[in-house]
Amino acid sequence: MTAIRAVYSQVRIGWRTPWAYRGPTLLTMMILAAQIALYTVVWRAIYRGHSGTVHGTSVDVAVAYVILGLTVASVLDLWPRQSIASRVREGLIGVDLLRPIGLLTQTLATQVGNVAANIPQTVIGLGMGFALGGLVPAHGPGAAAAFVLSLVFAFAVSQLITLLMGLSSFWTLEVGGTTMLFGVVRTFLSGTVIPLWFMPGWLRTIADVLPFQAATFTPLSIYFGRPTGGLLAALGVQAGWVIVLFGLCSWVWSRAQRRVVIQGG
Amino acid sequence: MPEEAPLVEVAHLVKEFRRVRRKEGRLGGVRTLFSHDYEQVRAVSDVSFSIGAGELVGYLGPNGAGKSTTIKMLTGILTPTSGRVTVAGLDPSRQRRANARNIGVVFGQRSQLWWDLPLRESFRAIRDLYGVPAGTGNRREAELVELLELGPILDSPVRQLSLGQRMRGDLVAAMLYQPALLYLDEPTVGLDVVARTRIREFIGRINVEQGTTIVLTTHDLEDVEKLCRRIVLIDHGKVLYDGELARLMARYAPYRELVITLAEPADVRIPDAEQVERDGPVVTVRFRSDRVRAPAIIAAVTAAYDVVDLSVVEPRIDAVIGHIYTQRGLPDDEQ
Repeated sequence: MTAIRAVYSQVRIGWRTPWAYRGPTLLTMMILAAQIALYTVVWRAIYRGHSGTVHGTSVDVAVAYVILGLTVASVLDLWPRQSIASRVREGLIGVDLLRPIGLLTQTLATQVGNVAANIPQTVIGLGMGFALGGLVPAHGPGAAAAFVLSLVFAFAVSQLITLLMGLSSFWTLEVGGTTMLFGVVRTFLSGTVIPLWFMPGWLRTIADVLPFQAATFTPLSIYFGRPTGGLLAALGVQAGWVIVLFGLCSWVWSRAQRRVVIQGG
Repeated sequence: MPEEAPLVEVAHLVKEFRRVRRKEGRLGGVRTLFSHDYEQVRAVSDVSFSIGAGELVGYLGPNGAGKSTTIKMLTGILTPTSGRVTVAGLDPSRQRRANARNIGVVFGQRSQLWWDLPLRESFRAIRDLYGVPAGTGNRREAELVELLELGPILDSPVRQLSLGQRMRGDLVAAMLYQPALLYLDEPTVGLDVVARTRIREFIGRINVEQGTTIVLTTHDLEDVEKLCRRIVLIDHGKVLYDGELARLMARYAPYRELVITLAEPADVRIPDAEQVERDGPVVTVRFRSDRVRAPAIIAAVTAAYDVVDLSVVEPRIDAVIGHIYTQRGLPDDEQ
């Protein structure tokens, strides 16, 4: 009970913080709406005069995919919280280490709060999609149910990716733009805007062996009835990534922590 | 001295850091990055002391003396190279989170408050983190907020607070869960006189009224003078002095001064005192306070001269400590 209360305090911090910055939050919502409108226009233009499907994808699915993809990513894909390297530099790592709950728990709890604060984005994303007539129903009731389950895994994968990124900055240093580069790679390889089934074989292979696709592409492919290797395999890969990423985060943090407490940063 | 086991025990504490030796010359920076040429730096070298429950101890030393490194080992965020630290029966670096519940830490230079949120939210989060029951928590928060006069700014985001307000906020945060031991690392740095006085009063009060044991690190010797009976003085990672402040002063600043304003300018010659300065009618004499008492000197002066005004000047603590810092050691006894 005490532990739950302690963790929840950090979820609350994560939930409240974005509301302290109304301007940027509103701007993010406007960017989401604009992106959805633009991608919808472009997909429709590409498919114009082309009645069939491309790589098995109709214009309706392509448009609905990008609407859902951008919406999901805008809720789940956070930028890493202040990296450990900068906390060490500013001496704030000491404050983190003196809390009665661990740093990974603190960070994950705060991220959960941030994600909760992002949920209103779905109204913007889906509202815009609806206004453009771009939404399509799930492939069936089973696909809809599996989509929800897959979103839960996607949530976990996405949070662990963000956490790992923040942790690894301890070694990679923050050479200007690394985080930007990470954002671009993540958006692209997660299949947020372009479904992986449009990618050439070699690129698809790269995307398949990395965890990013499990955070966005997997639930969407389930929604549209095209999970890679079947439903169970797709969900299994997600679950696998949750375990692997969690292990990686713990390992990286234990190494970083050892260096902090022995070398003093 | 308390009869029970001391709250803090430090025995033969050593901390060595390994630093990469910097390369000189062309591409020195890059070559340093890949260098495996290390040097050992001994930040703390064989420090021992113990602190009893309820004490308020000043932990002093010049910059780079090893103060912060010691405090970091006491809080558990640094692991000692050798030696032993026990805080309330726990080994801080091995039992860091359990130890965190027993201690409060306030750093003058950084804050544990949540920057973007109203001060109130930080207090709430701290209470939740430490599992303070609602009733006790409300009462304690109300008391502390009143004591430090934070009521009007509870709804302001921490980033908008002045340094003094933020500092008071940090003190409340550290005391909300009533830790047995409070580490204060330069709590008055950069504050104006009013803010400094207020924080000093608060520190003295929680020590006396709540029995909180306090370890105070500061460069403001007025803090020390007003608050600490005992000081531990370190330099080069070693303890130079551990004991009562008054004893240090008596031993290393044995002279007190008497400033006399005479009706007619004159030199003052009386037994047991020597004139050190004369500026018109104002004469300063000094005497050894351990050998002769001030009233005796005053009586002798007023008997022999026509005196307009008199004042006794206390030895200045910063003169003593400053002397110790520059000598890099205790001065020899002046007999």
